[in-house]
Amino acid sequence: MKYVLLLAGLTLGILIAVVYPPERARPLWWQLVVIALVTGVLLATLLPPIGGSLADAVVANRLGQRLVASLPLLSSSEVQQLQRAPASAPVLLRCVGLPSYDTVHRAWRVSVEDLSPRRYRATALFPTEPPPELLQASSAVVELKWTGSDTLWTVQRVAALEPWVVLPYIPGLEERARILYFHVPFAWGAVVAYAIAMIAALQYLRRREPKAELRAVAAAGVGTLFTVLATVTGAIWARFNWGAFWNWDPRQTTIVVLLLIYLAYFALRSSLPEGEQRARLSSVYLVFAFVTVPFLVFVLPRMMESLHPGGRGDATLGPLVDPSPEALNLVKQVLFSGALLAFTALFGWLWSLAVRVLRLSQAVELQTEAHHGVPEPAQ
Amino acid sequence: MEFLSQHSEYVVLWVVLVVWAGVAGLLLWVERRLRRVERYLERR
Repeated sequence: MKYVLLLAGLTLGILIAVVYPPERARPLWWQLVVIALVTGVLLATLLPPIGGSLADAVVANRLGQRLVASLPLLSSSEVQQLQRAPASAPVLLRCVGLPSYDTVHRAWRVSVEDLSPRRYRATALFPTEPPPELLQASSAVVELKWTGSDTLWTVQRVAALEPWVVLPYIPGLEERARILYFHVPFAWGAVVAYAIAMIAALQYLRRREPKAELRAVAAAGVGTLFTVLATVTGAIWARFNWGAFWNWDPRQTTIVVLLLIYLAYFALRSSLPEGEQRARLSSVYLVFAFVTVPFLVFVLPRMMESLHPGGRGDATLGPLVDPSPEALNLVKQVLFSGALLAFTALFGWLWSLAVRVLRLSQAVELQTEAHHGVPEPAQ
Repeated sequence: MEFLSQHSEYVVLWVVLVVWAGVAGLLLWVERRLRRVERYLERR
């Protein structure tokens, strides 16, 4: 089911992207559909609250203690300070009992039940009398702080009452999990762009149509833009997850190598005089460059020890592609597939614009040469 | 600062939406300009 959704999002995105040939201007309704898709993804991934189960909160508390110690830029005193602070986690729950005042903890006790399939129960301690709206609500996201016991939690704040959509809580990622819906689609979008560039380059080498070469250049350009965006969003995430923007983690190193390979393509293309030879050489380069993409994006980072989810030290394949039942969440998968669809469709628009700008600049150059004659080469 | 930290999720949302609105506006504008130039060149 998970892989069907992933494939459906990607395939539909590619279909929307290539429904018109890139040389043709896309109709206004198509542009508005792409804008609506991306806006919808932004709202659906940044607006809803994140909420997990009581089991997630327990895992997060245990994991927090371990993760803090592995942050590279923290001093030992900062690590100790953070480890002493009890972790808190947002839990999707409902109240199942009436509040009673606990004179030992000097707080209001309410029995709560999380909304996971196992329906774990615990006791929540409220510093003030719990609001009646919360007691009557069928669901609420409540920030719970660990007290030293897995069945007794202190309420930090009520984040949302009766939310329509709740994003899953991923222990170790928490609020930072939202970047998954941008960072991963950008990386996958870059792979799609490089694959299209390779196909167009092969088409050029077979038929020698200048149109195919322009398609290849444009796709490689947009692919490089997406790779830069994936790197930047990844670096922002790394700052808050690992403690520094750049750590030379295998995943970061391979994406830099990928960027260098495609930047070398543009350097090669701009260093050759315009003509058939330039188109042929750069197309051959693009075909060979794509051979490295699956290794640098999907294979090498999974073979090496890495802080990045899905690395060799990670028991899972990462929160989005891991097939284990614990990593399955319909909201997460639908949103991720929607993000794949929206950003692949956006690639289609950018690709079309790039192809048309390249065609125009070629046409303008040809007209200028026709009016003024071909300039004499410098002596 | 306290307001920002309390509403950090909405600050991120607004910043991202404003940036996206700018990008989408730019794309629509480029598309329009490009079509005008394409039509002009087709006429010539």
